[in-house]
Amino acid sequence: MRKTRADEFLEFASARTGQLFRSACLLTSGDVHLAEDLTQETLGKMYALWGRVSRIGNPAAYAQTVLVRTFLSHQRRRSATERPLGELPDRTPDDGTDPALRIALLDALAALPAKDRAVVVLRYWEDRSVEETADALHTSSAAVRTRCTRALGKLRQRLGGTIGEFAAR
Amino acid sequence: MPQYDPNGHHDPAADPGFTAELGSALRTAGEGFALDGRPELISAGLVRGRRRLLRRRLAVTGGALALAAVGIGGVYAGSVVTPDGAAAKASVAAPPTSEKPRGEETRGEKPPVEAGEPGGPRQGAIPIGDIITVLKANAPAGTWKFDQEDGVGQGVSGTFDDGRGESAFFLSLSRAGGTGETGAAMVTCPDKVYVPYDRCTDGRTANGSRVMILQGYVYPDKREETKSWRATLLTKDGFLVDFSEHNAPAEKGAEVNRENPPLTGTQLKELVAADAWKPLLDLIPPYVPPTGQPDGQPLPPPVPGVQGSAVPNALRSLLPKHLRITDKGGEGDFGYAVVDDGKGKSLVQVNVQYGMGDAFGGTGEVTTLPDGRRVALSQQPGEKGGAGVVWWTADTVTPDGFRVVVSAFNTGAQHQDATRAEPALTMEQLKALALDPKWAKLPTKAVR
Repeated sequence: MRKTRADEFLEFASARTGQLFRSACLLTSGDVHLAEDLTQETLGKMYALWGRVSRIGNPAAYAQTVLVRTFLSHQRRRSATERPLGELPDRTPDDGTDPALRIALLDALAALPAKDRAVVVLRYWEDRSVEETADALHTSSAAVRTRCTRALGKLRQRLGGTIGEFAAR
Repeated sequence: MPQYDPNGHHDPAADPGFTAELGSALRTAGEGFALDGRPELISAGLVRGRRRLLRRRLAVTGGALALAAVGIGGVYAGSVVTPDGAAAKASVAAPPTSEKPRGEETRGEKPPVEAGEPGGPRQGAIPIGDIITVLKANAPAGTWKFDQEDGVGQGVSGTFDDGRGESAFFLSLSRAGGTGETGAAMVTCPDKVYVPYDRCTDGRTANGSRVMILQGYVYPDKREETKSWRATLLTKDGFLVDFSEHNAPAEKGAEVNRENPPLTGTQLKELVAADAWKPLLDLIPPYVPPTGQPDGQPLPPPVPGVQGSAVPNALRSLLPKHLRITDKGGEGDFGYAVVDDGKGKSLVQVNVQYGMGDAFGGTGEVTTLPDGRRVALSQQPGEKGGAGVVWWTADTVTPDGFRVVVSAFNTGAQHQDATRAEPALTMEQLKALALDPKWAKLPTKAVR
């Protein structure tokens, strides 16, 4: 018997929401409230697209792409309408890792322009190729390489040797 | 390990050691964000998805059927379905609809549903089970599958099979908007120039309701041959019953599996015109007119919004002619252009928003014009990390909350360093741009 759209979607969402949320947390450099909102919006878009999406090869990867695009669209709108909050985003280091290192990495991500951050998350968290990243961001491979080089340079400047310690944990 | 050269001679992207460490560090940081305690994310996502789907289906099947019709009260203003958890409680609390008619018992009392809550979304709390019962009782025999069977809402979707192939269907119950026109557009056959169809009839039922039967296609350009047959009924007291069906198991993305959708035009008409919808329609909250109350009480929820590329297009047309536009974009209420007057790139952004009286920034120099519009001009440093970036803003709002805010930067992108001393537009030009009457004339529709 054919499953309903809702059944299929819930199965997908149960398996993928955790990863979407974690990606969203990195994209928002630890703003979990915004990350929740972006995750919900992404799930909503996936549900609405489900008839087509469920037939493509990799709905999980597609959802990550939708998330990144949703994030960038949010950033673009926000820049024109919202004033600075003047407070740090909510961060919840609740897993036993060294909060200082974690915050250092999130801060370094936060200092990147949104699109550069998206490139870093897609390339090094999602392990996408330059071409796949370019597709997801509707941009050229050359632009992804440029952003990537610039973003990594900034991350390296800020994090220095710390990142090795963090990575080793 | 090689040192990073800030002049860019060393490419850190090519340093496998650093990128491997970064990947590992991201995983450590990312894994720390646990989803525990946030199970509501999935159900909230589902709710958003259903709303999105409903909006899209109405817009798509509506085609050029005056998209103004999306002024429909409850459906667009609030959610169509509520989360299953809340819904279960609501259906327990809600008296069964077999009791006496709602309209009579509530006259002068508290409305049957939490409708008029100003400023909040209004939604019809119709038990989905009741919608399904009426649907089945007034359609031919067959096998139904529903995307949702419990909870409350204003519509239901799924598939129906009369034995000759599954057909996606979609049903919604709503109130027409504040003016009779919006409802009338829903039951008037559209011009074939805008919506290709095989057959369309409109007329009245015996009790005076207006009804339209439209037998057309999902895609106006027929790039896929999926048919969309739709019946819409507008009752004399302003309720809409809308049913659409397809000759495929999904509206989009599924192979056509039968020549025509299952219900014939006559059967569609009988379904939407069934008397049994009446008690369910009465559960939909009354429409609140979309103008603020004179006593300054909160604005009602359905707020018009500009759609598509109208804002970016208008921005382009209103920019001073000597500026070369090197990039542009935006959608909905937002538009931007990167302009160059020969002295460097300058980003110009605009937001056009309704119902924003309470969001007026009002920082900097605020003046009130004779017509009541408030204008705030400000100059501040950029906030996106670009060195030396300045951010000039003209923020304007009319007394009824129509806001146009125009910003300009002395860089082509906020996060890039300044390319010039000042933006390419003066404060006076920004102000004139924000106050241009063209913004208020852009077509809108009420969408959440």
